[in-house]
Amino acid sequence: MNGKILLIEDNEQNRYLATFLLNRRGYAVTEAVDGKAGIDCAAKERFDLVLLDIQLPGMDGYAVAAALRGNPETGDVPIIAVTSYAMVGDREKALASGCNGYIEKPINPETFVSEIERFIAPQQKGTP
Amino acid sequence: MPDSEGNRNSPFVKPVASAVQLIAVAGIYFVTARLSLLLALGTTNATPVWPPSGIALAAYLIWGCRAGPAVFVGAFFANILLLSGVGAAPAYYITASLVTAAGNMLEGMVGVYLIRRFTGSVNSFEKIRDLFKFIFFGCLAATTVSATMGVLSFCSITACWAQMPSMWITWWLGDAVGIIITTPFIVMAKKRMRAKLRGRVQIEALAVFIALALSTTVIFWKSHHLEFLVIPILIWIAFRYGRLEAAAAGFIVSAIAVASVIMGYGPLSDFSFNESLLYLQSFIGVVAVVTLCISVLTYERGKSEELRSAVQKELYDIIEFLPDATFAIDGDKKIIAWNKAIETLTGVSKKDMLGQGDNLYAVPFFGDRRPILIDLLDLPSPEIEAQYKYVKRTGDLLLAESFIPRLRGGQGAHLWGIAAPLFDQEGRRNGAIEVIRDVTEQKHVEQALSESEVLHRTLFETANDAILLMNRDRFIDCNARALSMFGCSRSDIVGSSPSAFSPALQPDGRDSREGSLEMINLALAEGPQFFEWEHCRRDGTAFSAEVSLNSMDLHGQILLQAVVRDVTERKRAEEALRRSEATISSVFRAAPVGIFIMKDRVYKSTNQYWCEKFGYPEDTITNENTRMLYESDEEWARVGRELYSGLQANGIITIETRLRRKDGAFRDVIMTAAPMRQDDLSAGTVAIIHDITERKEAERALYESERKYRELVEHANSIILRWSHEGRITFLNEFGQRFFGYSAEEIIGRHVMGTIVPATDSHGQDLRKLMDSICADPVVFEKNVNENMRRDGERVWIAWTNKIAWDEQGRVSEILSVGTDVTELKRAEEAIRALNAGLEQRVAARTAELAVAKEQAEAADRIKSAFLATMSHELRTPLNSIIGFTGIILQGLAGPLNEEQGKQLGMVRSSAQHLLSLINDVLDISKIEAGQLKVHIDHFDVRAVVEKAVAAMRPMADKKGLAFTLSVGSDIGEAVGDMRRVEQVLLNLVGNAVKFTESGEVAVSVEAIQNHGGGAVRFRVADTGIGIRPEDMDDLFLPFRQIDTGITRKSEGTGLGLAICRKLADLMGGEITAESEWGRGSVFTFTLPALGAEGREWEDSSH
Repeated sequence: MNGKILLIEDNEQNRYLATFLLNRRGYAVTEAVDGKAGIDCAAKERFDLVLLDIQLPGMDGYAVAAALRGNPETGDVPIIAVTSYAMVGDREKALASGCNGYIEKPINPETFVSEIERFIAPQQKGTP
Repeated sequence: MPDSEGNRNSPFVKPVASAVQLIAVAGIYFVTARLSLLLALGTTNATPVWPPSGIALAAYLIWGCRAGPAVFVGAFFANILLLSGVGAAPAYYITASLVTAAGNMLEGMVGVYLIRRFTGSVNSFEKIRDLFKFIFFGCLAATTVSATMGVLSFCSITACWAQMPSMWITWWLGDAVGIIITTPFIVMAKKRMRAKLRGRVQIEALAVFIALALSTTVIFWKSHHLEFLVIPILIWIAFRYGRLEAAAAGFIVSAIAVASVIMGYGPLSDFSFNESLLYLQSFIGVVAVVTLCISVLTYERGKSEELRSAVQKELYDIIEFLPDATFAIDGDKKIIAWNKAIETLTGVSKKDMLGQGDNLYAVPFFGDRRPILIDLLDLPSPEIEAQYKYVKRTGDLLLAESFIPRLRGGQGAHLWGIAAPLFDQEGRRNGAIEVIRDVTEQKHVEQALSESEVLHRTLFETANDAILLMNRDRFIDCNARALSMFGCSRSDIVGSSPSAFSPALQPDGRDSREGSLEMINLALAEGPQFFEWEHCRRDGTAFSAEVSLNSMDLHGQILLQAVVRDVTERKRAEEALRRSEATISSVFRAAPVGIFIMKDRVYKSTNQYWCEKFGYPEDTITNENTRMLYESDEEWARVGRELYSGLQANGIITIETRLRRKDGAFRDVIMTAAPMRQDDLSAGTVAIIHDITERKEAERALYESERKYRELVEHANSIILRWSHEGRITFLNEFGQRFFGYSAEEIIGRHVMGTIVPATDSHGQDLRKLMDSICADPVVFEKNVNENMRRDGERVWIAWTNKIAWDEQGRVSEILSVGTDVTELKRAEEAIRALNAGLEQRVAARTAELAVAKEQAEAADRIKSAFLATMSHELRTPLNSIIGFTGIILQGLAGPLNEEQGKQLGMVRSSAQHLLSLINDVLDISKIEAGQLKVHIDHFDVRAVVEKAVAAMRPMADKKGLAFTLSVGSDIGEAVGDMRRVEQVLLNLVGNAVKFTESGEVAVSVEAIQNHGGGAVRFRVADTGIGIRPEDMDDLFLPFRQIDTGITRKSEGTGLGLAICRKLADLMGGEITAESEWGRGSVFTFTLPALGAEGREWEDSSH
């Protein structure tokens, strides 16, 4: 197993797509359908990376990122915003709220995993 | 002490009385002796008590020794009777009787002699000391004579010599006891030394005596040894009653005791004869002595008490009438004396004070009960002392002085007081006395004296003249002024001679020493001298002085007093005044203006100029009345009235008038006059005359000239207006008056506003402001045209020419305005202006409409952009799935595909990606149009960006078989801009070139250029494609325009690319241009400044 990734995404298809791609590359994926569930998961378990949709029902991704960063337990876990938001300032807003990276939807299935791997700390990568 | 009996009896009665007395004494002696012999004990003649001795001594004490023969006779007969019975020869018993009688007689005489010799007093019962002497000499000493002589004679008869000692003792004691119980009783009874007993005490005394007699009788009839029991009763009597009573008591007890012994009863009879006798004698003697002693002691004490109280009363009487206010207090501080003087001083009467304690005596002085001087005797206290000016202590005495404001009816009194302690006879403190003297008058006199002395001393010391006292040749004192005047110390002056402070010679050449002596002698001989004298100071400088020299007799000593006044200053002032007067006088005389002095309208003095002016030789006008220079009485009176009222009111007055010269010609003059003394007009008036005849002439000429000009102005055919800087009309010529419809009276003095100038003109312009502006800065408004108003309200337009008149201070004083009616001209102008205004209004309205339309269009545009942004965003989400899963399947991750499936899925992916690029473009353009797109300017590697873009398009170009070249200048390094956006622009331009070129080549080149903004990088993309029609060039960079719709199908695109490129280029400060030849190809040029448009931002971010 390469590592554990928390995926916070409300769209079932997108959730499936990302999980599929990540599983194929040896990552264990925990899925959360909204921000609150995501924060609960992150509190229970240690993840190597959080993939975070911004447009979530109820609590949006910016708030989720801020909450994760605010908790000392989860404060150092890398967060990558994966979003179809492409308005001006979205990237900046995501980074400002605590995300380490920003990937625009639609994702490119050929490059997606290698893009996110840049954010996983090397020592935490599992041995293949 | 003289015998009171003797003094009372007359000389004729005395001898008879004496004889009777002597016979009585002899008789009594005889009888008593016979009776006493009855007392003899047993068979003997020894009697325990021999009262006759007491009677004899009493007689001597009362009548002196002349009673001696009587005693002798009485004793002789008594003895002879006794001895004749003894049985001896008559010669013997007669001799013995004579000897015994002589002894009896001598006994009393010796006793009296010794008593008188040692006591110096007849009455031995007044003082205890005398009583003791009486007992010793009278009873004990003198009785030895009788005992000796009696016993010798008796024994010589009886020859019983063996009995002699005991007989002598018995005889001696019997006599002694007889005397002690008898003599005091007789003497006291004779001298009436009874106590004065009255009432109950008398009854009590009687009862006590009865008790004494009874108890004594009982005691001496019983053989119990209780004889001492009588002693308390005797002591009681001795204390309580008088001496006589005591003596009587003693006598009674003795008598009973003797009787009991004789009769053989009682406690004293239990012994042998001689012992009984001695016991009895001792008992009686002791009882009598004790009783007597106590009674005399009591009497003496009582007497001294009486005496003391009498003395005290006398003392209080003395205090009572002491001239000084006096009060005394006892040991408990209760007031025991408060004399008349203190009653007068304080107004508080004795009855209110006597017996009072608690410092009540302080109240009349201080108003409250407090310790005062008298209390300081016991209680030294600084606080109490502080109440006094001083407190002095001299031995036991305290002296003090103070001022008591309450006294003398509130005027206050100076009091001087002495307090002294009082002691009783034993030397114990038992009170104190304070004597107070009102020394107010004395104080006042002293104060007056001292004030007067201080006053004189002060006068002396503070006098502004030097005052020196001297005898004939030496100064003896001087005041402070003398020291400062002579510049020396007191010791320099005192003792020195008068000429020591003068120069050797006086200004008149006299020798100072001789001169001063002469003046002193004159003053001594003739009285006060007053003269001028040259003095010199210690440092040698001389000064003039006035000296007054006076002789005086001070307690018989002739002294001189010199008062020296330094007159240097005065002399200097006099000199200055003289000079000043001379100056003024010459000014007056020579001043080039006519000056005169008058008093009561009479010339007192005129100066040279005045005289020349009016043609009068000097002094000929003096004392002449001023009337002679005036034209008429009326004028003279007018000038007089104005002159004096003006002088009174203002102190200075200027009057214009005409005065006549001596030659008769009149001169116009201005006379300015002022009083010689401000407070006294009668002291005269000084006046200056200005001849203004020439000026008057000039004025008249001026007036003429002005009149001519005035006519010119009045009749001109222009409005001529003069107005003050405040806007008030001061002049309007006749033409103006006619024009505006006002008469001169109506318009002059009124404000231009509201008269000829309306508040607002026909266009609503505020003319008040205009007027204010003209007044504030008339230079600017030298010419102006404005609306005016006639009296009937008609509006007229007038062109004004304004000219300013300045006053001396350079301020605007008046504005002269000349106006011409331009109403007609103005109306024509108005018409044209109205036309123009209509046009302008229409243009403005149209502009406003267009602005609204533009606003609406822009609003719609913004809505459209927002919509597009949301839409593109929403569309991306499903595309994520499509592209994602297509990719996954195509990668074979979901299982193998056959060729057909791969081809079809490839088409799906291609379509999805096209859709995505479409959406991206729409998003970009909407961002741009919503003004949301921002570029991030930074350095970037130009070559890398270009190569990346070319590499991305190379597959497509290769596929179409196009020649695709890239040429980058060697000097290209970094440029400034948003790298991602530059890449986007290049991709677009290169993409278009490849897309629209079917054959030939696409050439991309980059070069550094210099343009107007400085260094720049120019990207150039040239193709040999279809080109652009000239008519399409204008729309080339507008959104949603794709040129040549005919080939749209062939050239996929949104038609947004170039629009986006241009916007991005603009944002980065660059530009994009296109050149094209239809059918031959196009060249797109993208220029980017080396320093970005937002250079500042870049600079900031690089740091």
